Amino acid sequence: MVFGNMGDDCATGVAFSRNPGNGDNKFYGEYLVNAQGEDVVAGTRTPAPINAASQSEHNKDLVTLENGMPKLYKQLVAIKNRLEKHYRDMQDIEFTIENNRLFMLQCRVGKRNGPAAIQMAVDMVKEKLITPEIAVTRVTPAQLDELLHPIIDPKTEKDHAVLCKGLPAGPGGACGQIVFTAADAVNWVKNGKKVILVREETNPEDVEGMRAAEAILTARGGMTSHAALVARGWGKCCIVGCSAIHVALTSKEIRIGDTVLKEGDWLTLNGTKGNVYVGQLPMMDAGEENRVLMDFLAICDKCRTMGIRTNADTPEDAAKAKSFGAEGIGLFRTEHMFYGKGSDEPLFYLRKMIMSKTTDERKKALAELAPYVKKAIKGTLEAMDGMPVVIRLLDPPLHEFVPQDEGKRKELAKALDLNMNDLVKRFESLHEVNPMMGHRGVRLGVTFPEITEMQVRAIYESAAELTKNGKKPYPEIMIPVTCDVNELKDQYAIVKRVYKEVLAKYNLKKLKTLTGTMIEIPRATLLADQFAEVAEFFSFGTNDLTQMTFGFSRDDTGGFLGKYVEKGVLEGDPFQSIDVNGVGELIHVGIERGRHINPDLEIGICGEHGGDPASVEFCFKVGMDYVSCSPFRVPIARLAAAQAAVQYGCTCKGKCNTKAKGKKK
Amino acid sequence: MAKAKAKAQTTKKATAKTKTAAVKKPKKMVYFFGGNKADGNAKMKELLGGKGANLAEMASLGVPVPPGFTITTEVCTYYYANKKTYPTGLKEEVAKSLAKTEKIMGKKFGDAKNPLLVSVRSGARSSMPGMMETVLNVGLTSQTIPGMIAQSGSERFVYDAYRRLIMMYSDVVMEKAAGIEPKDDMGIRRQLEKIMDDLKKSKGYKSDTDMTADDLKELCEAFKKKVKDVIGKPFPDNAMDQLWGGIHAVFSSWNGKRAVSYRRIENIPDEWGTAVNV
Repeated sequence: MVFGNMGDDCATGVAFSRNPGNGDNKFYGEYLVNAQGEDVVAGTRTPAPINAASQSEHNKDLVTLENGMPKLYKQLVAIKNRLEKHYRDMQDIEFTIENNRLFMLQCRVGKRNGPAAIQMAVDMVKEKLITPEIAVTRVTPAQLDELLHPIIDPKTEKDHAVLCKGLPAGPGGACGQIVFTAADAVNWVKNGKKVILVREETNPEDVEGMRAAEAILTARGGMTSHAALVARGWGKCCIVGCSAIHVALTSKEIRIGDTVLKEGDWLTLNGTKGNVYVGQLPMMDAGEENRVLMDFLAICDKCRTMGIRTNADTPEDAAKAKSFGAEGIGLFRTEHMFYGKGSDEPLFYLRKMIMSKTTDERKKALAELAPYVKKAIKGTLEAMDGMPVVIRLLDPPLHEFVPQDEGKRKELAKALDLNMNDLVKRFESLHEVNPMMGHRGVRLGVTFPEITEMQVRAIYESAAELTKNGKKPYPEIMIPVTCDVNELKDQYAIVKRVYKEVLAKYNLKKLKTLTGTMIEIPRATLLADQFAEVAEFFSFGTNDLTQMTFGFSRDDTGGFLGKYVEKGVLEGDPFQSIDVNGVGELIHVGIERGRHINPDLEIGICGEHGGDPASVEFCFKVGMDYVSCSPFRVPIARLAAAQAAVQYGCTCKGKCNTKAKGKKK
Repeated sequence: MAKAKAKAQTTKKATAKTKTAAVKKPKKMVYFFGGNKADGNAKMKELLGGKGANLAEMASLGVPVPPGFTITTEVCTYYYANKKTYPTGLKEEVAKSLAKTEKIMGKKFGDAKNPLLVSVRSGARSSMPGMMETVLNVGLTSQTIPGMIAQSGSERFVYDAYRRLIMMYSDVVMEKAAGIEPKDDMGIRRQLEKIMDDLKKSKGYKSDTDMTADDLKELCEAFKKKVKDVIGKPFPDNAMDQLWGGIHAVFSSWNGKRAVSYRRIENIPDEWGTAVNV
């Protein structure tokens, strides 16, 4: 071995070929004169920066390697450049200087946090060090997630005094209650608390507590200390070397100047800046307006073959998702307009429609409701101009809309000219034992065709009016919860008739539109060939499909699913990540049978799984045209789809992934 | 779930394999690197661990690395499958690579006049920072210390290295690898650190570097006494015993508590094993 502790012409250090905290292409490291390697990582002495770029508040008065041993520094830089070029990735290196001779003790691909991973991937493509295909594999979905993770609301942060400052070792914001040991961190978190683990310095025995904590704060150690290294690997908020803090382990308190904080007190950390605040500061989502992120996602899009859509119910959501890069809406739920802000009027007319005794009454109520439905649809089609919007016809069981409030009931009775007794009787008749499998979805359309007709007319009239205004609307009408092709045929008759009527009314030759079905009942996947004779697209509703395949009520898994996963009965929560063996097999069969009849059948997914990276990979492998997920998951889906294409597919923009790679696994 | 499944299946398979079929003696067990040449390369991470593979790669690239050798992860697997014994022939292969190292360094391991010291470091396939053990300055004994002082011209340096060796070795080899689980704060390393802190305090020193050669010499004697008192065994005074003790400790550290819990969190299979870099 060689020695870094033989005198003042000896040293030892740790360095990264680029900054692992933010990705800057600047050599970054720390070293100690006359020391052995363990001293740098252990945090027993404060290491000096190797160059100006590595200086911080903490070590700015110490002599840099560049100034102290200029020749050796130059040699180290040359080796660093050589290694980075050779490995084509950021290197984490350990070196020792023995009597003015430089030796490398280790090099490896350096761990980095999300912002750094993205910055490096973008830079290295620009430098032509790596290809776009390699760049997309350099960032994990979890790292990308870090950029989309909460930060402290900057407006509030500005008005708060910084308690103390340390080194920003893990980015993002976090707040939690102070605990002092790893074991306490684990226990408090088990009891549903959010904690910040405060340590003099961490050691490898602390990992479980570090994992459990929202964030880690240490009084000692540098950017290459254990805490910094581990937190970076996990993308966890972390501040190290906050030397103003005095940790008194026995009395479980910390002193910062005159301030004394005890176990259980709240702290908020800004791991991007290294600032510590007392109390709970509000968090907000980051990620928008981030230039590097946009560049990186553009690289992903170059490699990606599968489309990314979003689930959005309002023109505002649609606009947001578009800014995240969504290429269409994979699920627009018409019922959304009956919930929340501005829902009073449409909901009243919907209830009136539900309570109607005769078809005439119902038609009258529907006519009153139609303008609201049309307004929401038209706004969304306009916001997504030129892009497809899958509009699902009314899906939930009607009893969901029955008013519980006495005043609302009276108002309704008056409008319908009913007495309260009759009204309550009507309500009771709607009651179902198992509504999720009751009178909902296409079953409403089959039994009350006028409900379908009103919605379809609203969709086509919106499209026709937008077309007249020079826009390019592209609605896709989706019929939910089908189990038999005859349901579809029944509804298609209405769709076709209304289509013709609308064309005539607006004097148009045609509208760009598709009609298809949501596949969420196991029977439908098995009979997909029959469905494909009629439907122009399939969208797999994997929430319900998982529910019905497993026979698990999605809202009632709380009692057992956790135990199932803990005991290894199931390997994971099938509502989070697609169950490839069961639900996946049904999807696979459905796609094969559907495409066998109609090779151009458009196929996508619109369950929560659309934003889960492992599920996105599955969707690519079975040959879907797109995945649809919530707006905030769109960037993750873009990355996951690019990674799947790089790993399993070719870059041809056709449907080769569907044919050549149609086999799962 | 999709990914977890694939991973879980491979893990299961691997477990079954190690349990049923006896692990065969690996063909080549030690890979040498140094003098701008190496037996291995960066692609051999599974066999040499990350550190070993990259040291080999750097040596081949002509980047200055101190010469040494890597004992493969297959030896680790064999070690655990065969009641913690080594395959036959390992001692000979280690001796051969050690001789090559000695030649390049122009020093001899355990030699009284011109002694070579080595470090024994772990290195798994994927990095597990700080999870496994390292012992530095292996080879310092009452025989080699005078030679080391003459060679380096610094008594202070040699006793500083020696006190580090005693701290690391007693902690890693004599305590952890021997399966001794002391109560909180009663670990040997903690106790030795306390002796050192007391010494620094009594002399009014701020930093480790303030300690003089005489201080360190005195400290080493106190350390050895404490080790004997606490562990009940004398600190080994034979270079070869120290080397094999270190190798044993690195292999053992693969199944140390913190390494196991880190592997759980990071989904690293237990079967991978670690390599040993000397």
